[in-house]
Amino acid sequence: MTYTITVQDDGTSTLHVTFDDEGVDLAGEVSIRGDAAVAAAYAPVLVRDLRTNYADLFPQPEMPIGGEIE
Amino acid sequence: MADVVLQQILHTAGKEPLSTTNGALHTQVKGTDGLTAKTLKTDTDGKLVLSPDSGLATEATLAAINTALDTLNSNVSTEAKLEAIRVLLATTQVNASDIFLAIQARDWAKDTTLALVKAELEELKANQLSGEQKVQLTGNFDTLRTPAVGRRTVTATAAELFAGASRLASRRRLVIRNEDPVLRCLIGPATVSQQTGFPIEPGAVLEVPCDPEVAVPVYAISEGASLTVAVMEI
Repeated sequence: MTYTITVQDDGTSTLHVTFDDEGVDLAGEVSIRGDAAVAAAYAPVLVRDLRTNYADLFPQPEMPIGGEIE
Repeated sequence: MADVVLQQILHTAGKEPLSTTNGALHTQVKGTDGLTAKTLKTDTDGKLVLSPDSGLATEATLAAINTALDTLNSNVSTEAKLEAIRVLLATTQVNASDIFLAIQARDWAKDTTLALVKAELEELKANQLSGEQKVQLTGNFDTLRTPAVGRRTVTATAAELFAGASRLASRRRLVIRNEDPVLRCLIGPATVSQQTGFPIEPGAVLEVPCDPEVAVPVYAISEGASLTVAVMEI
C-alpha cells in the first residue's frame, strides 16, 4: 500500500491510497480536515476500511494443511 | 317577292281596276303560287297598311326592339362606371403593393438557416430513435442505479464520509447508520466538530438527499473513540 497526501488551501488534506504494490487494482481517496500530519495519521484507518470493504479484491491467507492441535 | 298581276290592283271603291285617278288603295297581292294573297291598302290617314302576316315587322315588334335597345343602352358602361372601376383597380393595386412590401420586408429564413434547422431536426429524430437523446429527469432515482455500500471507521479526525473507496459520482442520496451502541456520530461540513456537528444517535439512520449535479462532501467525526457507521450511496 502506498499513499500520497495533498494539502489543500481550505484547511483540508486529500489522502490518496493505492494498492498497486500489492497487485490489487484498488485506489481510495478521502478528504480530511487538517494538515499532512493529520492525514498521515488517518491513513491506517482508511486502509483498514478499504481492506474490509473490498476484501474480495485481496488474496486470502492460505490455511496451513496438516499439523497437530496442541 | 310576290308578283303583282295586272288587274289585281283595284280601287277601294267599287273594286274597279286601278286607274290613274287618285283614290284609296285596297289591293290583294298574290304570290307566285297564285294562292297566297296579302292585303295592301291605305288607311284613313293615307298610311300604307300591310296584312299582319306579311312578314314585315309590326309596330309591336319594333316597339319590342326599341325596348331591347333601350335596355342594352342602359347596360353599357358609362364614364362614371368606368371611373369607379378605375378607382377600384387602383385601390386593389395599392393593396397588392402593400402586401408585396410586407412580404418583402419580412425576415424570411434563408435556405442556409432552414438547412441548419432541418439538420437539427434530423439529429433530434436520430437521437430519439437511437435512444441517445439526453434528458434531465426529476423525482426519485434511487432504484435506477446500483448503490455503493460499505462500513467506515469514524475517528476524532473529521474525514469525508462515503461508502466505497471515494465519493460516489453524481450521488443522489447518502444514507448513514451509526452502528455504535453508545457513541454518537456527528456530521457536517469540513469544519465539523464535536460541538457543532449534527448528531446521529447510536443505532440511528440518517438519509441525506444530494444533488447529482453538485458534489458536496459530507464530513463525519466521532464524539469520542472510534466508531463504525454503515454507509450507502445511491
